[in-house]
Formats: sequence, structure tokens, C-alpha cells
Amino acid sequence: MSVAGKAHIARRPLLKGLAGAAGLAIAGAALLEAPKLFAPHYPPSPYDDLLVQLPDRDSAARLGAAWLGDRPFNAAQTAANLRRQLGSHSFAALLENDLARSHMAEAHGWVLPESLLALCALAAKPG
Amino acid sequence: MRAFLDARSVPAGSTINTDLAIIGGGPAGISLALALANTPIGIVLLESGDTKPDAATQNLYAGTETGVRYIPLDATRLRYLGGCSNHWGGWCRPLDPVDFETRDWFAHSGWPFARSEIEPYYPRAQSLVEAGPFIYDEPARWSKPLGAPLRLGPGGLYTTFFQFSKQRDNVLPTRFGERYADDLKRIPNLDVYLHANVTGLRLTSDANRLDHLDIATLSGNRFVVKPRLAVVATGGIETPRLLLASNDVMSAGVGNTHDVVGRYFADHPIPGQTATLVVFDGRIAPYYQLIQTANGANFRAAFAPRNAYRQARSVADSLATVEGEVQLDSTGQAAVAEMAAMFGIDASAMRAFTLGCGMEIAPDPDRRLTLTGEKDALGMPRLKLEMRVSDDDFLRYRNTLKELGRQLLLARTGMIRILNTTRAEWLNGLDWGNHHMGSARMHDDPRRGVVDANSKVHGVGNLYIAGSAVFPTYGASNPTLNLIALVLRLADHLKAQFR
Repeated sequence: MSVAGKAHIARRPLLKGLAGAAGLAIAGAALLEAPKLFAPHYPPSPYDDLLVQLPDRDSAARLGAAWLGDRPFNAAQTAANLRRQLGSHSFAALLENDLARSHMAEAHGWVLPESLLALCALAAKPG
Repeated sequence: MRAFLDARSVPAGSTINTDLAIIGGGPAGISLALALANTPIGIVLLESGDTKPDAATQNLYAGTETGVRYIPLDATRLRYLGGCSNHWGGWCRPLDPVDFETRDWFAHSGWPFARSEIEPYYPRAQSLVEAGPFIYDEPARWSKPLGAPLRLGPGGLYTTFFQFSKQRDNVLPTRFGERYADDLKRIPNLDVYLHANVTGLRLTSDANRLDHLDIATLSGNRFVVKPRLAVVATGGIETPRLLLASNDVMSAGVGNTHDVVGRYFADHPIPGQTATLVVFDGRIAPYYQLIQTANGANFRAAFAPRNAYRQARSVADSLATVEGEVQLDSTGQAAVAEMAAMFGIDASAMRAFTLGCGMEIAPDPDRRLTLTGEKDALGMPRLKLEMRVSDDDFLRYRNTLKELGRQLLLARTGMIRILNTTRAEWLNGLDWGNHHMGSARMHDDPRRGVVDANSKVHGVGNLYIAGSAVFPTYGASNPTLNLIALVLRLADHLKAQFR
């Protein structure tokens, strides 16, 4: 076997390795992006800073619609109230505060903290 | 042992003299006779029926029901020895202290004494209903063998416990006629007459005292019992009938100078499925759903409002029980998913159950028993019941459920869905407890009650009423244990009258 032959053999696994690494990188990127590709997309709303709190916006919208029924709803005012109450607190803390103060409401009979249903209403009727 | 006597064999037109006549052989009448056993007081107990049911006697109870749908008057009670204990479910629970209090927000509420007045009689009453040791709200006694109660956050409700009457060999529950027949036969100072229908409480001409009782049998016999004292123990429906029909001296009826007799009738509405209870981790102690045995007692849990909460939030009493397991619809699943996610709770093993309930209704003078022109086989006027439940009655219980939902979330235990909102929803499938109360209510003021704090009929010196007919406010607890405690207190009072 010649020296030139050795050099030729050495380049082949190198190229294979580079190709494999590139493939892995592409596959990894695809995996990372997949949830974004398959997750539901919602049109942008002025309340996305709040709606991002909801783990499942479709479920939340169902609850919000049940709570709202036919009642009049001012999304901007509801959002402003929620932002003011939230301040620097977490949403869970806001719900805890509702529970402590008996600020409860009902959606389809389900007894829930008022703030949760207000947020769900924003998911149901964002504007 | 002495046999029961048959009123059909008493010589027609004769007079039986006795110290005390007890009218009615149900839990109240039998408990009173047992409590006065082996005293110098000569007692006659008058029972309309036999030791077994028969159709002709039962038909004496037939009447008319109007207003909110109620159980037919000849089906909601039983007219033979043992009375309503013959279809009793055996549920026992003492009334709460707040049940006895006068509450401004609860019209016509309050007893003329506090619960402490009948407290000493509960252990003996508990023994008569054979419900085991009197332990009720001692969760540690129940929870050690069978698991802890559901955790609730601070608030208005708590887990309370029923105990259950159990006859010998664990047969549920105590049927007073069958269970105590031999005991009654052994009492030397007692004569029990079967087939003895009291058709009139005959007053002296000045209306101040009871003179005698008219007795009739379905076979056509008639005679008189002349007691020094008499106790009407015929239940919350028949008691006003007898008082109102005895109108030969007092035209409005005995004890009815102020038109109170028959008013304020009450029962416990059982509105079927009232709510859905979700338990996030799916773990719930077995005593919530089914009767369990521990510490020598049969028991089951319920959710009840605390005394302080009832006062602070103006809610009536209620006892919510966990019933069958159910599946959630999509909205329910969404509610659980959102709430669990917000609080970081694993609800993957979540289970849901329906909640049943027995609830208290407010005293209402227009929920009323009156006489009709129709007569029964003995010539006694039949009754008409005007049954009512107010929207406020339902709203108070609804608010209680809402508080339970809040406490479940506070503790991260679970959630509540309230199923009924409109009156039609509440009334749909509404059942009743067969707990007949209030129609001869107790009040110190004769204008507001039929009997005084000793259960003596106002204005009649020697006539008493025993049983849940005298309950002026009802609570949500089943009445049998409580009425027996009250009867035992009356027995002590009567002993003093004969000294």
C-alpha cells in the first residue's frame, strides 16, 4: 500500500464524519423546532404577555367562553386589570390571592378563581 | 312478660283511667315509655296499627299534597308499631349548637334553649338507636384505620361524620317496634294497646286541661282513655291533624289559639346530584362513599358548614355526601387541566364524583298542613299539605358548595362543579328525607309556638307533644337521634310532674 493510498483512505472517514455531524446538526435543529412547527398558532393579540401564562389556550378559551356566556366583555379593560393586579407577582400568586379573598367565579358551574376566568375570557375573546 | 292489648277487645263505651297516655308507638312514643319504665307512673301507650303493616290502617294517612312535589302523605310515613323507624335509613347525627340559636338573617329561627340542654341525653339516645359509641366528629378515631379525610383549606366547611343505627347482628337499622317489643312487654307499669286510634283530644269546658281521649278502632269499637297527663307522639304530620281536628271546645283546634298549629312544617330536601367533586390525585377515603365500620360504629363522612361560617355568611345547614364516580365532559377536563397546570399539580390520576345532599330549609309559616273536608274511615278530616321551598333555600346551599370549591383549591386537593342554578334545575328530581318537623313548634311565646320549652302545649295544663313536630328550626341532621334526646329530656320533666 502506497503513502498516497494511505492519505486517500484517511480522507474518506473524515468526509464521512463531517457529513454525519452535519446530518446530526440538521436533525437536532429539526427536533428543536418541531414543537414550534406543530404547536397551534394564534394570531397576535395585544394580550399575548398575559395569554402566555395559559398552558393550553384552547382549553382556556373553552372555559372563558363558558364563563362569558352572553355577558358584555371589555378585553382591554380586563387585561389592564389583570396587569395591574399581577404587578411583579406570578400568575399563580394572583390565583392564590383570589382564593384567599374568596374572589371566585363560575364557568359552566366550575368554581374557579376570578383571575383565571378573566384570563380565559381573554383567550376566548381577545379582541 | 305481658302481651300487647287489642283495642278492638276493650268493652265499648268503657273508660280507661291512667296516669299518662302516650299517643303513638313510633320512636318517640316507644322511647318515652322505655324511659318511664319501672316508675310509679301508670302508662297507657296507644298505637293505631298492629305490629305489622296493613292497608286499611295505612290508608288513614292518605291526604293531599300541593305546591312543590312531595311524597304522598300515606307513603312518607308508616302506621304500625315502630312508626317511621320501619322505613328509617338509620342515619344519625346530633344537631349543631348553631341550630338552636336565633339568627336575625334566618326568619323564625331558634329554640328556647341551647344544645347544652339536650346534650346530656345524647348518649342514652345513641344507645336506643344502637349506633355504637357516641364519637361522631372525632376524625382521628375514623381516619386511623381507613385513611385521612380529604384535606380542605381554611374556610367554612369541614368533614363531619354520620353514625348509623344497627340492630342486633349488624342489621341496619333499629326498627323500634320489632326491636323493643319484648322490652315494652316487660314494663310492669305499661299497657300497650294496638289498633287504638285517638280521634279526639277532649278538653275540659274551660279549655285549660285535657279531659280525655276518644279512641276508635277500624272494627267500630269506641272507648275513652282518661289520663292525668297525655303526650302526643304521632309525628310531624299526624300531630297537627289531631290537634286541629279536636275542635269541639276550641274551634280552631287544641293549642291553636294563635293559628300556629300545622304551620312551619319542614322536611329535608334531597336535591339529588348537586355538584361534581374532583379529587386531583384520585385518592379518597372509603368512608366518603360507603358506610364503613371502625371503632365499634358504622359511619360515613359528609361535608358540612361550620357553625361560625353559617353565622358569618348567613347560610343554613347542609350535609353533602360523596356518591358515584363520573366522567368529566370537555369543559370539565379543561377546567381541571388549567387549574392543575397553574398550580403545578399532577392531576393525571384525577377522579370525579357526584355530590348528594340533605339540606336545611328556612322555617316558613306558609309551608302548612290544614284539614280538608274529606274524612277517613274513622271520620277524621284528612290533611292537605302546601309544600314550599324558597329560592333562598337553594341559594344558601349553593353558596356553601362554592365555599367547598374554594377550600379544595386552597388545599390543592380538588375542585367543585355546581350542577344546579335555576329553580327548575333544583326541583328536577328533588326528593325528601321523610323527616317531618316543625308543625307544632316549640317557642316560649304562645303567639309563635304551639308548645313551650318543656314541650307542653301552651294553655293546656296536662298535654305534651313529643317528637320532631316541636323542632322550631331543623338543621340538616336526621331527626331521629335528636328527637329521642328531646324525648328523654321530656321523660325527666314528666317524672317531676308525677312526684
